[in-house]
Amino acid sequence: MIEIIACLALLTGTFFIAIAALGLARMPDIYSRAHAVTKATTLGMAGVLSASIAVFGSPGAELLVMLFVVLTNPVGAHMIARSAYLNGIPMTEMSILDEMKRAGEHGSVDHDTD
Amino acid sequence: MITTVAHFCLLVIALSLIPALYRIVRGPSIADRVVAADALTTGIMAIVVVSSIVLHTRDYFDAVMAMAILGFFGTVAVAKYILQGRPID
Repeated sequence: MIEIIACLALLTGTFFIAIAALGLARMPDIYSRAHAVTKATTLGMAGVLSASIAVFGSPGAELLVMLFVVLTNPVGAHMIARSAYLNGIPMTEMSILDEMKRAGEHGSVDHDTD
Repeated sequence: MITTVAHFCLLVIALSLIPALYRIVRGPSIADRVVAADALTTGIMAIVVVSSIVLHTRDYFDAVMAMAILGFFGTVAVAKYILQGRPID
């Protein structure tokens, strides 16, 4: 039973890591790429580490790694996307909304202005 | 059963590193390359975790932790470098 749960968690994590690779190859601009890759790899690492916990029977360093990945992956992606925007890397032509541009150049998006 | 599934997952994760390498080589800006390097680091961490499941040892989680920390600080450092000295508030 434990082995079946471990196999399912392992396959789920691998599936999401493969989805992240697909998004990295196919998405049109940097912002959508960072969006796809960060969320999918975070969930993929959570699945693989859950499989490791199920195999070894008790949580050890897996919980620490999982907490660190969940905390730092979105922060890093946010910082890299924000500095890419402030550096003038363009969005794709398909995008329909630019909230940072409406909020001014200082990057402080204020939703109360309009 | 878990060994067979783990070997299959190792193959799939290793194949999913190829688009990250492609994006590092071809990506039009530095930010694309940093995002791709982040995905590469996470894929290598997953490979080490699945390998530790196959080998049935827990000795490699220190390496996974070190890779997580180094990947995050590398991303933050390059994000500050792209801004060219402008402070991040």
